[in-house]
Amino acid sequence: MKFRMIRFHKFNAFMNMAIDEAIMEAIRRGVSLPTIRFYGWTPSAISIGFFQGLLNEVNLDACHQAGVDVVRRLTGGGAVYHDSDGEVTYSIFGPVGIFPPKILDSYRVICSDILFALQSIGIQASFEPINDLIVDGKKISGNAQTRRNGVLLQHGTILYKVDVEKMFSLLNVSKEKVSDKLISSVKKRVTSINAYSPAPIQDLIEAMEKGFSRNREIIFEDYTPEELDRAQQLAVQKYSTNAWVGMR
Amino acid sequence: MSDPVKTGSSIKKIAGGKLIRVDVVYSGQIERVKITGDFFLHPEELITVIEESLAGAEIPLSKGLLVEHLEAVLKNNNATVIGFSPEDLISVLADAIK
Repeated sequence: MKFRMIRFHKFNAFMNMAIDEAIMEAIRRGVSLPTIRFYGWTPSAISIGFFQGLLNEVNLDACHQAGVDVVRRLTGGGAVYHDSDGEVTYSIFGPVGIFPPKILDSYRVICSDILFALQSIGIQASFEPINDLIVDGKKISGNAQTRRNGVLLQHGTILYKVDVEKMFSLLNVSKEKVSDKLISSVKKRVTSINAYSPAPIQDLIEAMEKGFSRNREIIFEDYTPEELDRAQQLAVQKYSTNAWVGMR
Repeated sequence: MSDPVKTGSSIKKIAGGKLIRVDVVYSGQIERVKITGDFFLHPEELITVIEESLAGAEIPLSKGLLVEHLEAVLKNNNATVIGFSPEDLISVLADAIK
């Protein structure tokens, strides 16, 4: 199966989520290839899951003071802090039929490419269902998936370096979620690449490109002008609006 | 005289699953429900159908019937939930009403 791979580039939160939707639309219309994109976030941002309550999850005052954007994703799952210099995000898109039909199976298959990438820079991670990758029992990558109009999107982050104090000053973490894990602090559940490897972030990006190139025919191309135009429209009319971000 | 309108909420991290929070407005019956959390529901937009379908349920809740109702809504919409079961959701809803 031929995939387009789009190299790492940083956008703001609203454009990042808008680009994901624009590419899903283009694939559905048959005008774009199945795609893998790598990207960062500037400024730093919080993304919340489709079903999460904005005020339950996010300390909006702290985000405002820190200049951190907040966006709601198309996908379920939890809130994520995307540090502008501290993580690599990917999205993979294609017709539903080219992925395993069961959602949990497709998480496992797609995440195996990330595990391969991490291994190539010396990090032994493992897949922890439902949607996490862990190292030493700590989360290093979270992933989320949606299937709409016959197109699958899975996106996820790999933490390169993490400022846990800042992360948790921006998020409201419920005591219920922490107590389930039987540990005293949720901060101990998160780790990052630089705690295990001296590899620069560029090495992680290249490893991710190689990981996702396994078993796929890859063409390096950029976003199409049509995708970027549509994404600009979605960023303004949907992803940056209170109606969307504060929907729940 | 009609029952006074009350609000309630309950939150639970499902073992091996995800976190669900239910906020409910009720009197003698459920008036409004909001279900939030870090779970997955495919298709996502079905969440509003589920919320609206719970309105009108009489209190005390018939938990078994509501679980069957939720299972039917999911099946009829070819939906998949990851992170909680219909029993989990109705249990959290019942806790929110206590």
